[in-house]
Amino acid sequence: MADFLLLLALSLFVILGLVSILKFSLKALIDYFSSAQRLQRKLLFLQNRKDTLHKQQYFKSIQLRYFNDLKRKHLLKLDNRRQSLALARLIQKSLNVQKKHIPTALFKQWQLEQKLYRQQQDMLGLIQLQQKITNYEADKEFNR
Amino acid sequence: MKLIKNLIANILKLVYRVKDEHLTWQQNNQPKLATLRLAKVLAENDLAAELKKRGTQLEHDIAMLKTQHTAELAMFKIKCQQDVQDYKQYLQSLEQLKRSIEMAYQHLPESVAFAIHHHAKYLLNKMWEAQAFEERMAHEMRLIQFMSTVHEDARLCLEGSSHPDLPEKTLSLIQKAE
Repeated sequence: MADFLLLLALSLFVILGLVSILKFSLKALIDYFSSAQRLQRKLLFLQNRKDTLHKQQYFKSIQLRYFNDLKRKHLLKLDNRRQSLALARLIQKSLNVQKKHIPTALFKQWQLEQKLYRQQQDMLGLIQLQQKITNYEADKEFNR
Repeated sequence: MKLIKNLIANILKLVYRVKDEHLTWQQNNQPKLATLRLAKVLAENDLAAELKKRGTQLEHDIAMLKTQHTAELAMFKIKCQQDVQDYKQYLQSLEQLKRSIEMAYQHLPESVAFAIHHHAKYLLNKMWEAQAFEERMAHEMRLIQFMSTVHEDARLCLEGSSHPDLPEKTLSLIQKAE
């Protein structure tokens, strides 16, 4: 008899528990789809979208600035190449004119320097090389 | 068996008594409960209306923001394109500057003309890479001053009123900068 009573009590306890869980779940489900909650979710979605738009704008402007800078650097590179080529040609011309008056080793060294600076687009190096050649020519003239 | 019957009867009695008390309590507090329910419904409606209003406002804000951002981006794009064009024109004017100095000073070593051009380009890049507005303006002033000095030297040389071999003012400016 006692066993039966215990089983009855336990079954009642389990049934009550299940009913409570079902009740809470149903209430939560109804709350989830209630108009207030739906509106709240929509509001959060809109707020999130607004924030995303701000971020998108920021990153788009950074991207534009980056590509703009890339274009400018490309222009600069082209100009550097044009200038270094022009000066390198002038240096080569001076070297060819002075070839007979310059020792072969020095001539080759200057020719190598000219090629290296031209490849590196090193304008300062080329300018200094041209000055060296000019000074060398001037010294030669002076010694004569 | 009798004991169980008594127990169940007692339990049933207890349940009925509790239900009676509950009913009596509900009867006594009926107006208060009705007011409470009404207040709850009204509060829910108010909240829904407020949320709806804020939602509409946010949708409007988003639409405005999209238009504003599109316009701003278009303006920024134009500004960027203009910047690149300006830079290109600056490079062309520096080339022109080099040519004018070469034309004015016939016996000027090529390296000097290239050094002047190189210094002008250095100033131009410093100006372009400056972040702060004041810094950029200062560099721009230096570049403009340098370019006008070069043109002035070239003009004076062509008129025959300055040193015929070297653009001295320009070279002294470069030396100062170094």
